[in-house]
Amino acid sequence: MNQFTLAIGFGLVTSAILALGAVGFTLQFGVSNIFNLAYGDVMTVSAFTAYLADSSGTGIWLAMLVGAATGAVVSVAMSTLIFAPFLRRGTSRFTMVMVSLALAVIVQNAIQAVAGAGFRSFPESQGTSLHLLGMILTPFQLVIIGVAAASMLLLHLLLRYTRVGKALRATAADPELARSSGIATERVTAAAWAISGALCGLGGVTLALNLASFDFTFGNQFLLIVVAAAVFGSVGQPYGAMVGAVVIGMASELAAIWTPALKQVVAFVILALILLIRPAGLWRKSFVQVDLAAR
Amino acid sequence: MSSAYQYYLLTLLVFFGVNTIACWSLNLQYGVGGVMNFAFIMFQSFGAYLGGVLTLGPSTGASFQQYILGANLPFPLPWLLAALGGGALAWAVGSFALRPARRDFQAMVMLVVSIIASTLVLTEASWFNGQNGIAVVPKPFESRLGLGEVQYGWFYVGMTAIAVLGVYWLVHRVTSSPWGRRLRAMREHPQALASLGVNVRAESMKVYVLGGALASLSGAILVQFIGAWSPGSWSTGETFLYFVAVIVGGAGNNFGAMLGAALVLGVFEESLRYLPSFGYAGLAESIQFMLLGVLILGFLWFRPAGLVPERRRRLARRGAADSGNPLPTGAGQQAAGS
Repeated sequence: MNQFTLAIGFGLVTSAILALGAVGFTLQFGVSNIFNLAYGDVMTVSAFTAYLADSSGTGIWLAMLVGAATGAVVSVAMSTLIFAPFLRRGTSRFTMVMVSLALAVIVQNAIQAVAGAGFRSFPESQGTSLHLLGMILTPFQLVIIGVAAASMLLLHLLLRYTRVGKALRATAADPELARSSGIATERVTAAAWAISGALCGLGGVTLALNLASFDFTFGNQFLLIVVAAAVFGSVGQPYGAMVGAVVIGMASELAAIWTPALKQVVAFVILALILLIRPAGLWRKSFVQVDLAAR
Repeated sequence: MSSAYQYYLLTLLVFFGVNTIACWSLNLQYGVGGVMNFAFIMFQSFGAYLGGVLTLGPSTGASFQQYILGANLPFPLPWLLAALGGGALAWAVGSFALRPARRDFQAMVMLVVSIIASTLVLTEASWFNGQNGIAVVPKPFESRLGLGEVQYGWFYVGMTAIAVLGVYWLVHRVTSSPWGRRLRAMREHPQALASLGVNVRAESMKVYVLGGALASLSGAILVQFIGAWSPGSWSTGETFLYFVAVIVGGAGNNFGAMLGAALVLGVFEESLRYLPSFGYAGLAESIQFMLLGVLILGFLWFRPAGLVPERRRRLARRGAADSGNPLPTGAGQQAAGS
C-alpha cells in the first residue's frame, strides 16, 4: 500500500471537514464582520447534542441533522442575544473579538460543567474499512466527504441562484447600500448566522465522527486550522475558504507522512507564507476594502 | 507572623509584581497601541524559559532535562537577555502577524502562532525538554547570601519591586511621550494616522517588540522565584486572564492595569483556593472560567473603560509649541521628521 495515496485519502476527509468549518466561519465573518472565536465551541456543542441524539437511538443521519440544527440555533442566539446588542452599543470590531473570546470561554466551560471532562466516541467512527484506489477509508469517512461536497454545492447554488443568496452577497459587500436598496439586512444577517451555524454544526459532528474520541475541547482545538483555512482563502470569501480547506487539509495530511506530530505546524507555515506574499489572503479582495465597506 | 504565612504573603507579592509588569506590557500593546496580542502568554513563557536556562548552565544531555540555549550567567544578565530575547521573538512574530491591516485579523494570526508554539514545545522534547519543562533553576544570589528561605523570599520581593519600579518608569515615559500619543492615535484610528504619513505597521511593530520584551522580563522574574518552568502552566488560555485583568482594570491606564493585576490575577484567583471543593475534579475550575467570561462581558457592556478609565489628556498647551501640538498635526510632523 502506498503511503502517498493513503495520505491523499485522509487529506480528502480532513479537507471535507475543514471545508464545512471554514466556509461557515468565513460566511459568518463576511456578513457580520466579527471574528467569532466561539465558533469552535459551537462545533463542540453540536457534536455533543448529535452524540446525545445518536446514543438515544435516532441513528446517525438524524443525529447529523440535530447537530446542524443545534449549530444554527446556538449561532443565531449568540448573534441576536450577544453580538448584535454589543454592536448596537457601538462596541468596536476590535473589542468584539474580546466579546467572542469571552463567549468561547463560557461555552467551552459550560460544556465541561454539564457533560464532564471525559472522552466520548461515536460508535459509527469505527467500521470495516474500504479499499479504494489505494486509499483506506471507513464508510463514514465517505459519508463525511459526501456531506461536505453536497453542502458546498448547495451553498454555491444558494449564493448564486436564489434571492436570499443574492441578498446575502449584497449585505456582505456593503450593508448600508444593501439596506438602502430595500434588503432587510437584519433578517439576511440572521439567515447567514443560521446557515453558517448549520455548517459549523455539521463540521463539528463530522469532525467528532472522524476522531477516535472527543472531549469538550476538540472544537476549540480545531478552530485553529479552521481559521488558518479561512484566512488562507481571505476571510469572508466562501470560495476562498473552500480552496484554503483543500490546500491546508491536503498539505497537513501529506506532511504527516514524515512527521505526524507536526500536522498543525504545516498549516501554520502555509498561513505564514501566504501572509508574507499576500497579506489579505489568496482571494483578491483586501481587508482594508472589507473594513471600509463595513463602515 | 509565622514563616508559612510570611512565605505565602511574599509569594503573593512576587506574583503581584510579575503580573503587574505583564499587565503593563499588555496594556502598552493592547490598551495604548491597540495591538491585540493573543500570543501574549508565549512571550512570558519564552522569557521564563530563557531566564531559567541562562542560569541553569549548558545542558549536559545526560541529566533528566535536555534543553537548548543553556548558559551559566550572573544575575542581571538572565533577566536582561530574557527581555532581549522576548523582543527578538516579538520582532519575528510581528514580521508576518502584523502584516494584515485589521487588528482582529492580526489577533487571529497571533493566536494561531501561540497554539502552534505550545504544540511544538510539547512535541519537540529535545528543544525545551517537552512536557516536563525545566526545574531546579538556581535563584540569584541565593548561595552567596546564605539566607533562610523566608529571608531570601523577602530579598526577592525587593528585587521584584526594583524591577517593577524600573518598568513603571519606562512605561510611564512611553505613555506620556509624543510616541505614546501617536500610539493612542493609532489605536483610535489607524487609517487616519496612516493618512498623515505614519507607518502604522512600523509603529505597531515597535510597541509589539517593547511589550514582548517586558512580558519576557516578567516571565524571567517569575521563573527565578519559583525555580521551575513547564509548558503546561503557560497554556494559551492564560492569555485570556491577562486580557481580563487589563480590561477590568482599565485599558490604556497604567494604574488600571496594575489594579487589574491585583484584582483579577490576585484576589479573584486566590479567593478560589479558599472555597470548599465540590463536584467532580475540574468542575470548580470550569465554573471559575465561566465567571471570568461573564465578568468580561459585564465589563465590556457596563463599564467598557474599566475600573480606572484612561486619563483624558489635554492635547493643546499654550506656549509649548513643540510638545503641545494638537494630536494630528503633532503626530504627522513627528512622523515626517523621524
